[in-house]
Amino acid sequence: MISEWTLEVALILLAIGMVIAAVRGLIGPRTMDRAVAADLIFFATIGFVALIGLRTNIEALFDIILIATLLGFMAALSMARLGSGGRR
Amino acid sequence: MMSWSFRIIGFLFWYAKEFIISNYTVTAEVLRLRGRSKMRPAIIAVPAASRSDSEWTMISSLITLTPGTLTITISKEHGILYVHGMFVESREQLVAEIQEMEDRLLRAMRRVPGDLSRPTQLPVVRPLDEAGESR
Amino acid sequence: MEPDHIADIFGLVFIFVGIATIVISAIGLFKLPDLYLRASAVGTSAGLGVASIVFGALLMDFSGLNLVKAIIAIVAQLLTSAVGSMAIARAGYLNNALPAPITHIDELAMTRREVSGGR
Repeated sequence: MISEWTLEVALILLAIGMVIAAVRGLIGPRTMDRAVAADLIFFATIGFVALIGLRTNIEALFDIILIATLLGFMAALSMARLGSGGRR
Repeated sequence: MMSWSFRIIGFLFWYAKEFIISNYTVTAEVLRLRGRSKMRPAIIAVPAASRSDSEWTMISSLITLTPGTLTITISKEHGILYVHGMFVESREQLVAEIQEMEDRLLRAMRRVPGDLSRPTQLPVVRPLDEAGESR
Repeated sequence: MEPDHIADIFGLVFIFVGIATIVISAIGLFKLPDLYLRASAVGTSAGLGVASIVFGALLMDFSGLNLVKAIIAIVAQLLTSAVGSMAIARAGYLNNALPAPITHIDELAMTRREVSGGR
C-alpha cells in the first residue's frame, strides 16, 4: 500500500514542527509567548493522533479527534487565564 | 424568507473565500525573506454596527478566525472593535475590510437587516497614570 | 485505478497541506516579532491546518458516521480556536504585552495602563 511510508514521513515532519514550537516555548520571553507555542503544539498533537489512528486502523479515530478539539479549547482558556493573572 | 436563506449561503461562500485568501497571504508572509517583508501591523479602533450579544460574539470570532486579523478587545458601550491587522496600509483600508465583513454578517444573521448605523466618533481614552508612561 | 486508491491519494494531499501549514506557523513563531503577530500565525494552523488534516483522514477512512463526526470536529475546532486565540491575545493585552515597534498605528496605546477598563 502506498500510504505506509508516506504516513511515516508525515509523522516526522509534524514532529519537526513540534520541536520548533517547543524551542519557542522554552525561550519565549513572556508567559503569553509560551502559551501561543503550547497552543501550536496542541494542534500538532491533534494531527499526530489522526495520523497514528490511520496507521493503526483504530475504530474510534474520529471520536478521539472530536474530543481532542474540545480539550484544546479548555487548555487555551486556562493558559489565557493564567497569563492575565485572573483578570478577564 | 427565501432571500434570507440565500443571504446566509452567500455569506458562507464569501467567508470561505476570504478564509482561504488570508491563510495564503499569512503563510506567504512567513516564508518571505526578512528584507522583502510586506508586513505592516497596526491596532485600529473599528466602529461597529452590532447590537446584540450574539452579533458581537460572531463578528469578533469571525475576525479572529481569518488569519491576519485579530480582535484584541471590544467596547460595547462605545460600539468599537479593537482589531489587530497584519497587513494594514492605512486606517481606512482595515476599517473598510472589517465593516464589509460585518455588513455581510449582519445581513445574514438578521431576518430584516434593520439598523446598520455605526458610531461616528471614537471615544477619547486617557491613561490612568502619568502621561509619559504610555507609549 | 480503483476509487479507493484515488481517495487515499487525495487524503494524503490534504494531510500534507495541513502539516505544511503547521510547520510554517512554527517557523512563524520565530520570524514574527510580537505576541499578536505570532497569534495570527498560529491562527493559520488552528483553522486550515487542523481542518485539512481531519478532512484528509476522513477521505482515507470514509464512512457515513465518520463524515458526521468529522464535520462536527471541524466546526468545533474553528469556533473554539477563534475564542481561544482571542482569549490569549486579550490576556497579553491585559498583561501589557507591547506590540513590536514595526506596528505603525496603535489606537490601544492610550488604554494600555487602564487594565480593567475595556471589560
